[in-house]
Amino acid sequence: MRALRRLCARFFNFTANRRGDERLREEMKEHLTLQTEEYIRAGMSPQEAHRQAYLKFGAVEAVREDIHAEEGLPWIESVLQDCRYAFRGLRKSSGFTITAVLTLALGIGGNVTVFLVLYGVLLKPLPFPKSQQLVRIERSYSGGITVPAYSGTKALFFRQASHAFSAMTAYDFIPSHTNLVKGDGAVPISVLRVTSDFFRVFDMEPAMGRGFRPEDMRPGAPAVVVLSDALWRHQFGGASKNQQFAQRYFPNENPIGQHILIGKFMGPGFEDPVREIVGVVANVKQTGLDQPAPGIMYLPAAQIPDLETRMMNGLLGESWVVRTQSAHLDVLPAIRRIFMENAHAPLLSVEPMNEVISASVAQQRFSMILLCGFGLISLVLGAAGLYGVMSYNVARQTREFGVRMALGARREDMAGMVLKDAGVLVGIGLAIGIAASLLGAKIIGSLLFGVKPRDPVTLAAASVLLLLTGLFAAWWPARRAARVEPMEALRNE
Amino acid sequence: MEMCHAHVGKPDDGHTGRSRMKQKKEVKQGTLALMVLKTLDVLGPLRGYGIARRIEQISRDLLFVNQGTLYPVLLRLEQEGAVASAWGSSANNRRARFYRLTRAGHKLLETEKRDWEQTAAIIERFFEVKAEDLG
Repeated sequence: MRALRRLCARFFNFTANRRGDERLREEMKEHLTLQTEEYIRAGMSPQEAHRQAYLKFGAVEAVREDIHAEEGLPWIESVLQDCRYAFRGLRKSSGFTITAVLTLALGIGGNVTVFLVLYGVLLKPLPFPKSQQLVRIERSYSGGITVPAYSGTKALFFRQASHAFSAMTAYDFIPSHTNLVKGDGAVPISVLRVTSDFFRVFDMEPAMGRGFRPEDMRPGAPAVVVLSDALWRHQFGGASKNQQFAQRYFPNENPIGQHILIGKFMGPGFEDPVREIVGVVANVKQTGLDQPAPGIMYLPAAQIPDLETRMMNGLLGESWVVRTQSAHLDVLPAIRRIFMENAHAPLLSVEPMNEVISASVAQQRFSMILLCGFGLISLVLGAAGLYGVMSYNVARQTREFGVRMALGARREDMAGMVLKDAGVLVGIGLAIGIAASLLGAKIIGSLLFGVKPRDPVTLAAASVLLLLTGLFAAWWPARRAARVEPMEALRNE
Repeated sequence: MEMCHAHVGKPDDGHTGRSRMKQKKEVKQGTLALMVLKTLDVLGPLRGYGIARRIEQISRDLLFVNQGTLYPVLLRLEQEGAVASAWGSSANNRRARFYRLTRAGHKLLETEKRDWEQTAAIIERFFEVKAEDLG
């Protein structure tokens, strides 16, 4: 606590450039006067008293130095001073400096961009919890559609048949469309027909209310619906940021227990019973990772809402997803066998969900690998440029190093000088490069999913990496500077 | 105690010499700070000169090599919030800077005093111990 307080005071003095020199001078003068007077009272001559008082006080300049050291943040001051010096030195060889800064900026810009992209595509977790346990099975259209793929008993059988599943669901992989009646009109809306375990398989905990239950799948069960968060916000005016755009459907904000009507005006055969909203779940990117999450409405597959669904019912279950108990790929043949025996239709594919997901970003990943390559090349170029400039500077300054060492500077100080020069260069390059990359990432952000153009963690990580690369490149010239022999350097003149 | 910058502006005399110098000064600074606090506690607000004189009197001139070393200590205590200072006028109507103990300073003095007494007591016990006591 005390140390913190002291640091604050020192930091304040440092930033405000406040120095108590005036105060100190006055205090010291007062001190010396008092001491002198006391000696005079003790019987010394004024001259002698003055001398003794000064002797007793000690070296005034040393005290001032000590005070100054305690007052502000001297080490930061000395670093700043060194940087100013480095800056002046670099200005002398401005052509080289500009080249080096530009190559560095290029390298830095390229790399920060790549980092941002890497973060977006590789480091971000996949949208489903434990997605390595999910396996997607697709049934082919071409097989006869005489046997409905979905029935409650069959699903139950599937689950009992295999201990490999902990849950399974069938749903339309591609949502169909209906409309939502609002007042006198209607708005188009996406609908996904799912079986009761859908939310369990994808581990989508309802944010409000409940998901579907097996009872909802029985014929004649009360008509229910679950909304996605986005749909609730946009169509029903849930606590949304753009309230003014949200057409408020329900005056109160809790949708659970409210009733809605869909499918009206779509012609005969599309009438749907009034449905009760039983839950709201988080958004899921149904149509691919690079698409924004649409507002979506989930209906129990067994509650056929309209003619379209009734016609499509034979196809429902074209996509099945099971959650396995382990993440091993050896369950795939078993799953394939169980489905072959029960689905009465050829299977299109049995593949882990992670592969499905990564296939949806395959194209983006290719451009990302390309970008990575460019980024690496620019980093190497930048480092080489820095190495060149620093080597040139060291060669140019050999005599200066010699003089400094002859005057007692240590070898570490020489290496430090070179590294500080490099630090200034990298710093300027960083500033330009990061500015450029923020622009670049904004453009690339439109091509790639999940890239946040201004992610501070990524920016910091990239900056640190580049700073280290820069110092690495400057290391050899710095060592050369430290090895300068003063005698030789001076003799060369 | 935080590291002090004793070596600033002085010729470099190698690592061992420097660290020894630092150590000596650190001990002194800590003790000096305690004495300043106690002096202000007993006598109330004082000028820097007054504090220096009082410490000299009590320690019978053994402590100070240079009176000037008091001022960095005062600055440090002020930064830590243990003492506060303000301009005032002295008896002969001269402008002078007066230092006084703050509430935090009182607390600091109490803890430092306890620590000091504890250390002193332990050291004393070590000196008093004889071989036969341990046998």
